[in-house]
Amino acid sequence: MARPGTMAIIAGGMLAGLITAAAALWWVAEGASLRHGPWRSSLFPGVVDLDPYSRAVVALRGAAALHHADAVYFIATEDETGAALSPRCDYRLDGRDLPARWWSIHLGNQDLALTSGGKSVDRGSVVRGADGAYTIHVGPTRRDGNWLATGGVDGAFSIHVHLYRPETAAMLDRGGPALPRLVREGCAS
Amino acid sequence: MIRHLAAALGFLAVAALTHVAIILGLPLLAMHIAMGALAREDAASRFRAEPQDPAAVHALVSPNPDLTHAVCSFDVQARAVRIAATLPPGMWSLSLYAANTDNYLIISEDQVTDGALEVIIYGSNYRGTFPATSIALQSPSRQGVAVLRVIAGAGAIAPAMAEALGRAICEPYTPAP
Repeated sequence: MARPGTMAIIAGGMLAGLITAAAALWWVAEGASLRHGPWRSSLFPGVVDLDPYSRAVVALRGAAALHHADAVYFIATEDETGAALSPRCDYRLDGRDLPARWWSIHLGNQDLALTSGGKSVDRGSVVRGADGAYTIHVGPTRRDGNWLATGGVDGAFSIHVHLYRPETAAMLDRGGPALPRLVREGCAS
Repeated sequence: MIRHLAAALGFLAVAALTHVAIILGLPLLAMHIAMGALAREDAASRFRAEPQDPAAVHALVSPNPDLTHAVCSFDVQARAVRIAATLPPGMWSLSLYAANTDNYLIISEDQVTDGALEVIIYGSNYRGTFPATSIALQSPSRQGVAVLRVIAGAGAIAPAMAEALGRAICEPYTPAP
């Protein structure tokens, strides 16, 4: 039977290994994130010959992730000022057609999971102006046209932009793809 | 002094081993859990569209209302595996994943003629032939997962596409005599 000192060394070593692995995965995931204003994404998924750390990050997000040639997802949890998205506030997404064959915009919860049964706006259903631009309202206040209701959402939430068959040039552009502006209009007191 | 040095080295060795085991083991564990869920869904060597247990799909992919999936786990140790489908016009893709989660093949509607998809996956011990019309490739691992995805668009998958997804084949391959 191992002595208490030996057991402490083994337990401490395992804990240190766990902490350093978690820290390394967080660091790798952060390093691979694309940031465009309030929008964040990752180009990791669906690639062969990843380094072991990147592969482990992919595995944590879903063992069979979509290849980035098929889809790129952007998520916002904050508005343009850096304030967390709140279901008490009304927001506006101002944009134009996104650089992809198909795109959609959804609401998600604070754990970044899409809310089940939630409404979405997509390339086919979005109401556009004469110049092709659109405004999508997000919040508790009922609006005409494009409106994603946050009624019934508890706590912080997230906004998800899905680009299917994204245009590679737009993804690699230094400024990133032209994603919608995310503007807070006001909050209920 | 020597005892303290040995303790420090032991601590570092255990920490390093734990670190490496977690990093290398996570992808294998994730795929193992996913394949176990697919086996419980009767999706081993056959495509299963819309599994009853959402966990079977969620272990593989994040829930997404834009996409409809058919999933199949396979093993090429004993026999090659044939994946086939005839899909109507629309956006779809077939992705093959190795046991370490590497996405080693992706085919979309632009790469086939008339929506006719046929892929044969074989192991390193396979010595047979393949039809000239199919895409044949060696699996980098004994086991793997195939995911056939349809981008539904506008919130609903077309009935013809749903039917085609339900008829998709993932089965042991029998070479022609």
